[in-house]
Amino acid sequence: MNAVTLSPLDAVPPVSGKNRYAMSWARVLHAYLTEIRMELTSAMRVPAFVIPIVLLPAPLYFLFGVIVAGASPDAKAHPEIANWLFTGFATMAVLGPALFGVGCSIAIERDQGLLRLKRAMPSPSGAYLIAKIVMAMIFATVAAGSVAVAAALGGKITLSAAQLVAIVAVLVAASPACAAIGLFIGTRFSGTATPGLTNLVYFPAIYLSGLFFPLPKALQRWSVIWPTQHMDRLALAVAHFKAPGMLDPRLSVVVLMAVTLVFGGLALRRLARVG
Amino acid sequence: MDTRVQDSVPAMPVGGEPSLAELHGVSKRYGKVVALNGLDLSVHRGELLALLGPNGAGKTTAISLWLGLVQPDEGKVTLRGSSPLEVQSRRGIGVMMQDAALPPQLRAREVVELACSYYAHPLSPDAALDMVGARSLALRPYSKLSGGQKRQVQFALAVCGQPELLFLDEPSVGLDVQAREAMWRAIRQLVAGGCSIVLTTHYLEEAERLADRVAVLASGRLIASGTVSEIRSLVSRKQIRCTSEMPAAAVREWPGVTQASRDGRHLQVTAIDAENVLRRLLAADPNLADLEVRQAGLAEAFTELTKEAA
Repeated sequence: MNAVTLSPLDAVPPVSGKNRYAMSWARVLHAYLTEIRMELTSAMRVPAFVIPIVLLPAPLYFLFGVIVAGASPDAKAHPEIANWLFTGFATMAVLGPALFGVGCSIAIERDQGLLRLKRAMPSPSGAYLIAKIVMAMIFATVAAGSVAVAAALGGKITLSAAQLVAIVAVLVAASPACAAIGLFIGTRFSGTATPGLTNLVYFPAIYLSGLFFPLPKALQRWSVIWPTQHMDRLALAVAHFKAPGMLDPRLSVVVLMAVTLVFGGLALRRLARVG
Repeated sequence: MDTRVQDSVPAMPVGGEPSLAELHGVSKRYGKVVALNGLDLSVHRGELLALLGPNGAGKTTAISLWLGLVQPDEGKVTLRGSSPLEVQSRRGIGVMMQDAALPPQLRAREVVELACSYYAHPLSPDAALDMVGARSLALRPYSKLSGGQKRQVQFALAVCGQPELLFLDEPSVGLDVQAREAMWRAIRQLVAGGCSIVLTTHYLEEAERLADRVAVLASGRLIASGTVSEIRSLVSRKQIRCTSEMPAAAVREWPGVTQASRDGRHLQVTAIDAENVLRRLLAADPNLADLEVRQAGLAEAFTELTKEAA
């Protein structure tokens, strides 16, 4: 065994007794930041997560939202359609990291006993979940930001740079609602079942919320159940896009907050009780 | 023989220092299965307590209660003077669990660095890896490590916070001889520095070599507690080894003999009534030589105690 070399960090705890293990606020903050850094590092080293979830939305937008849709006569007659397609693809870009990045990883790590170990260790309360959500928001920023860059370069949009930035910011700020749904699934189902179940939410959330094409009336009334519909509505409000029957954005804010609180609360309750 | 030995040291030792972890009359059921049944157990400052018992005896449940991972159905659990659910009480402990996978994408050093961030005055990650003899693994991805190397990194996680109480659940499973010796040295070093350790193990040699006190659990109850020699003395078996031509099968039939086997020229006998068996052996084989008689080891004591409790 090697000799133990002590660095300045290794100094014997200076305070004796029980208080010697008390954490200063600076140390607690350091713990949260380290947890976030490691979560990001860990996620970035998984190409199977980064490529389809983070890097793919921009090329998809360029192919379908710019080249294919741009060639239609409707797009030429109604230039605001380009803005609408951009917000739809940007919403999809945010959904992936929030839903899969949080839910699937939690389910797998629960199965492997990592959550149990973190509960046993003095990991600061909530650090693990906050790190997951921050990681998802950072990846969502990259994914939606890439779509915004693609839109600015070739999307024939009529939005200013400030509006593009604001749309990305609004979508990322709303993404915890999707993360809460991912969390809810990930805390209830195994690592094997969670990806499949998450897909059952992901695809309807994209296609049944009217992000890319107008829905038939029968489906339109149900689109409000999907948080993506409300996220898109907020983004469209920033783009000053108006269409008949669109919801008041303030209602969308309330719905997204409710989704975050209900699904997040149920997931936290489950984690606290079962782990 | 009465093996119903209670926790031999009171919760508040004469010296006045309270126990670091206590279970008072704790019962825990999983459905119809009784995991713990009115268990009283304390961990005292600076001691290494080995928790022994067959599979399902309740060892991991006892540790899970101390770590706040499960709640007792009855009784009281304290960790460093308060509830294990309080993060402050867990800040003075280190944990090595039986089956915890760490983030596979992180390097060993990063995994330890993350664990270090949970503590007020941790070792540096490199010092923690050094302590367990795993510094050379620092830059290797955790997923690329062998089972034994992963256990070494998990041990580094457990010690990195300079804890005053360490829970080691089957720590040496999968370790090669060299790594196990290194772990034992580190454990002794920690105990010498005042750290208390709760160790569960199926390797009785490990308990025999490291433990200050042994607690034997069976069916969720404490059936014996004491030093290794006290536990050994609870059973009356002795081991007889000699060079003899006597057939093992014949000796096995003698009264007082529980086991007899042959190892080349050597005859090995386990006996309850060792003195009479020895007299008979000497009478039966005038050429008997190289005689050794020793008290049953912890392994034999453990086997007998748990068999009686079953």
